[in-house]
Amino acid sequence: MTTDVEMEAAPRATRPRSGYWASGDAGIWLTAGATALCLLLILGVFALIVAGGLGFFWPRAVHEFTLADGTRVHGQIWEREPMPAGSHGPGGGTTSDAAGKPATAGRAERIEIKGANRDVDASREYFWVPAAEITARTTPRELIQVERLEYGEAYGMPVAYRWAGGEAGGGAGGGAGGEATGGAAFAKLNERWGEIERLRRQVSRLERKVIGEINRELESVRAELGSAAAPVGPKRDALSERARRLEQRYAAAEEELTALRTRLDAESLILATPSGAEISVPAGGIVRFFRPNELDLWGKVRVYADRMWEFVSGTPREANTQGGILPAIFGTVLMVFLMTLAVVPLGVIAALYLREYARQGTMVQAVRIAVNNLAGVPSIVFGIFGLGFFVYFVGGSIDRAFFADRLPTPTYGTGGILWSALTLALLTLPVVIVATEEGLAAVPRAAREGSLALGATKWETTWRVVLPAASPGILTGVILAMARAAGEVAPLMLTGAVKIANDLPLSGEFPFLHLERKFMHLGFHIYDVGFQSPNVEAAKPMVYMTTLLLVTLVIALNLVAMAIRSRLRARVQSSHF
Amino acid sequence: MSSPRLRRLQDRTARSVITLGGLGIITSILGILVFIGGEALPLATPPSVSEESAARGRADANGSPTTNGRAAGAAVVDPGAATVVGWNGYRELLLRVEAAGRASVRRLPEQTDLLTTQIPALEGRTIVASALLDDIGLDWAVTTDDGEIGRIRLEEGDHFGEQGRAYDPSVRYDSLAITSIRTPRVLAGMVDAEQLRIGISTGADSIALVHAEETSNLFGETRRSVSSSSLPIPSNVTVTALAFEGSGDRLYLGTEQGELLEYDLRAPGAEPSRNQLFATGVSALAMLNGGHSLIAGGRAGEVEIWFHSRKSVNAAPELARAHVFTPHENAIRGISVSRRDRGFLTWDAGGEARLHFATSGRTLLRMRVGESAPERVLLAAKADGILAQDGAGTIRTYALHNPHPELSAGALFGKIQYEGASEPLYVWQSTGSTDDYESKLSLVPLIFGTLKGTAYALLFSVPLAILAATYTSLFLHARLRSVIKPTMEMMAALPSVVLGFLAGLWLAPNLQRALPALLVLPIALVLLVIAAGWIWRSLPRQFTGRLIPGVESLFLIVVLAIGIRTVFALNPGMNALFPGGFEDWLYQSMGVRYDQRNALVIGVSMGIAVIPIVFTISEDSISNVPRALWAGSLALGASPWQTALRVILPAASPGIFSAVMIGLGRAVGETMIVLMATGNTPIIDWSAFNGFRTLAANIAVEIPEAPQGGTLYRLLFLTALLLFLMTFVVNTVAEVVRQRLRQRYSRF
Repeated sequence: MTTDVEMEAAPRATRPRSGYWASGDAGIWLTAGATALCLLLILGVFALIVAGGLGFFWPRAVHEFTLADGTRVHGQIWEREPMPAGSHGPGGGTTSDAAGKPATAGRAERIEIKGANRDVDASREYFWVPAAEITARTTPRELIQVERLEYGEAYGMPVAYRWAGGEAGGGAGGGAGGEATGGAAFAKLNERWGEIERLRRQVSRLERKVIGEINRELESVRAELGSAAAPVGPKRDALSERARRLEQRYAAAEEELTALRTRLDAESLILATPSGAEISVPAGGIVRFFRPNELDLWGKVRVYADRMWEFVSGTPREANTQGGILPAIFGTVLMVFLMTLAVVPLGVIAALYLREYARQGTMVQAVRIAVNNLAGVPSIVFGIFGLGFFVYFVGGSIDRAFFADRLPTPTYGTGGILWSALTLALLTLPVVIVATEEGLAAVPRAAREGSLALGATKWETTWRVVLPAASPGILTGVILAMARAAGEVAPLMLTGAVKIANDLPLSGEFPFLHLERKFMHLGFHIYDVGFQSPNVEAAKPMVYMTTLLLVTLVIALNLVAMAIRSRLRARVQSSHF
Repeated sequence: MSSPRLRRLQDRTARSVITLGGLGIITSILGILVFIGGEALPLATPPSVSEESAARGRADANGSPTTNGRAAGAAVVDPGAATVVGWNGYRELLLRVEAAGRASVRRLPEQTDLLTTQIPALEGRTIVASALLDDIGLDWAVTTDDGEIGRIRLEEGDHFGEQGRAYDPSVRYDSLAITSIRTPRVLAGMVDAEQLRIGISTGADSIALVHAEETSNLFGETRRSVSSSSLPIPSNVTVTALAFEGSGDRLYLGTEQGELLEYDLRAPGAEPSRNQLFATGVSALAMLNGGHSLIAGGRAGEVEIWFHSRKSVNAAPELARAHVFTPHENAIRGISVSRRDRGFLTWDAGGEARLHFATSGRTLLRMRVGESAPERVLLAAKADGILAQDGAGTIRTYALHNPHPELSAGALFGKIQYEGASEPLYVWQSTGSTDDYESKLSLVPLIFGTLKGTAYALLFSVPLAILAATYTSLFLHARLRSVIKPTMEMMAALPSVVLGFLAGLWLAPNLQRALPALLVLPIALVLLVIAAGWIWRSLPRQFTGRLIPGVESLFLIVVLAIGIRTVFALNPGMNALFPGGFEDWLYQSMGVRYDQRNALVIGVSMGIAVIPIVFTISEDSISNVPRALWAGSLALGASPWQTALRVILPAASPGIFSAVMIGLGRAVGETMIVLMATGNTPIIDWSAFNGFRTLAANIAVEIPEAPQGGTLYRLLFLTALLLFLMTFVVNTVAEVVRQRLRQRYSRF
């Protein structure tokens, strides 16, 4: 409904009238400057996210630094910046000394080194060193970088690769235990890697599928046996028999798991840090390993792609600072999907009523303004409403009615994906209503009248003529609503998003869709990892990557909505007659 | 095709479904407001008190007539002069001990006796005086007519049985000390995990103190040591009331002469410090929950609260009058303190009891207890009931409904004298580390924070957005505009959690480093833009003339990028101009503390969130100004800038106003950015260099710790309601203004 009076080719900003000041051209330049600054801000934000996100997975060289005090450490150059004023190295010079030499102070630089080996010396994981205090820097080609399941990364020179007797030795060891020392360790690990990965897959399958499932079944059988309404007689015997068999299966699986773990633990890579400490990394704890200083471009691309793949397809590790975000992606998508299911019928019916069925007047106009303004109500208000109404009131009532036996442990009376989806459905309802109304308004009167003139009822006209014609408008609204829902965090914090959810809301277990479960969400993940994490520095790469993913998702949805809208406009304009 | 009847039916069904559905959906949207209001509403309900037996639906045992609807003469337990009366936390056990030592424990509300026994040690002796050791009445200090000081305790023996809670009570009596005086009078006592202190009036001018300590040694054996001492009192006073401070280290004496004497028990023999409390005598003293504030009741009905506070940072804490309540008509007989909150009950000789709340200094409730003057009135442990015993020994119980005593308009929006503070303050600090924490629930710091955040965000975004909108709609070629406008709108879609994250983890640390550069930046950029314009003008016309209008802005992007980079590159040099760096200098010489997460960071980051909103709506409204005005003005010889400034912008000003309003609405309610980049400290300070807490962020911060239905929970709903109404009103005003504008220009 904006303007039909477009001003084409606006007057020239630099029209030669009188002087630069007198004509006010300077003012026009200021407005141009403001526009440029706004654009620069947008570009800056996006550039920051892209640069911050994409760079982190690229393998960097790992150097061996020798510091002024003689200590040596392996690490990557993480960041450089000018020395902050007032601090000139540890204990170096008094303040007056420093103030006397501002020129040198201004030029001095300090370097943030990202070390590893948190288990050996946590203080050397991220630390700042004045550039002047680094006396030597080498880049040993043999150095191995290992990403571990625990304690983050490990850097070190290979000492040995050890394996115990039995099959673990594979071809090289031939039955007995053995050890490949020095440079051969890397080759050996490479050789064993396929086998190790196979074993690890078996372990995780056993852990997650077998033991998890048996456990759940066993729990339900035990609950049935222990409940007040427990069956008696032969039925009870059958149940106990089932429980006994489950227990046996559980024990067998556990035994198998222990055997596998022993085999994995029997092999380990020994690394040496420059300070002389040895780190033993069990083969079962290695996620990825490579020689960062030896990688060619192709090798780097492979590491990059591998890390990227883990990021989008893996589960989080190490308090969400490592690993992937698949559960968060999944949670976001499912939540948005549920929200869409709820918001589309509601929004469309409300819009149909307002535009097609209600008598147009002051009242409807007032309602329209109210609905429109609801889009401006802070999302946290919806959040607290969702908490009070859906979680406590509706959820609490459901619990009392259907899950009374589990109380006081709430089932639906606590945050869950359903409540989040419904809360966001309310939040985005105005978006859908307004867009649908716009779409309905754009349907030419002639189309309606034509349909009615041919004898169609109002409903048939609405269903067969008006709605199909308005569908791009509806779609635009739905997509905008999805984009808004995907990026919204505040209401989710109150209604069900959590930092880590072990069970996905969708699983192979009856009833497959667990609407009461809590879920992970990309936006909440950003907040949580970036601000609630004990090691913010180590978490930053994850946050940037998650941000990049979320922003890409939201922008893509918006672009699609925009494209649909412009096509709709074009069509409506062409159908004017 | 189906039959006409079916089609008609279909049509009618659809109509009713859509009408009902539509109305339903719209109603339920407005229902959000109703629900939020409903959750907050109980905060406004005044406290009420109802006679217990009626409340529990039990017929009156003694059948005394109820007069004029007030709770009179009902709930009579039974007559008989008990000197010790108390009930347990669930108000289910009633303890009575008569002067002769007969103890009974009665289950309420059934009124069945669980225990009736003669305390063996009190056989043949008479209790002459009693005083509470705890506040609810299950632990008493008593003195006997032969000079013994003892302690009577009810052990509830509570456990869960078939029908809920069950009790197996027993009454214990311990002899603590024997004095030489006959019929000593107990004035007050206190007990905590380690010690027990009792103060006894042993005559007109002397006070004896009994101090019992229980210590456990390594082997888990407990040893009790009891000591008694006498307290020297100034000669010309008569002690009428006594109270121990919570720690037991300090003793307050109230006198017949209206004086308050304060003894430090850690320094025996030290002179008491004296304060004149009332013109007439002090008749009751008690310590408020937490044990730091003294409640004093006077013979003329005065009720006051005193506590120690420092006049200045270095001064020693001094006892000072903090709250004065409306006096009773009769002399105060006693005070009973709530163990749950800062409430307390005073009752007078005329039979009136009043419930007060110390923090807000309000009297919440006035009631008559019984028909004659009460002998003793007790507030239940959970402050949900009142027990009154009159002179004839009749005991009445009342249910008290007072779920949110700490809230009032004064507590939310006014300055409050908090315990230990030297002056009334606006403070938000809802929870503390201890159970007896005094909740500080002033909304003023939060409203202030909201306004501050909004102000800084608008300060940054409004000028930029309006200037950019002016340029985009008036001076930019349509082709460029069709790119730039959607780009700006795209920025509106950026999730606020992303902006918050960048603000908190990237912008905040970088700003701290580059503070002087940032302060120089606005001026530098304005100069740079003007200079760039000057240079552009002097470029050869053959070159600039061929470009479409508006390309300057793209050129400016490059210029600005270089400019910003340069200014920040100069930052270390600027920093070095100040001894110890700018931040240090700021603190040393200006006394301004720099917090990393502050209002500047919010101004920029929330500004980025607000810019696209203000920009889009302003741009629309500027574009909607009829072209005739533009052409007319130029034809009359005005320059484009003059036309823009004097003709177009004034004409579009209502639209721009509504743009600013909608931007304001967004800034007021923004949660994630503020949550992540302010530090969330609820302080009142306009400085750009420190943080704040907004209403919206406060909800996100506090709601996980607010139990459902509690005061904080409801208060957060109240703030949500405030936010809802604020944004709704602001947006509606903006919308109405915009529609008016549209109507005005539809004539053209």
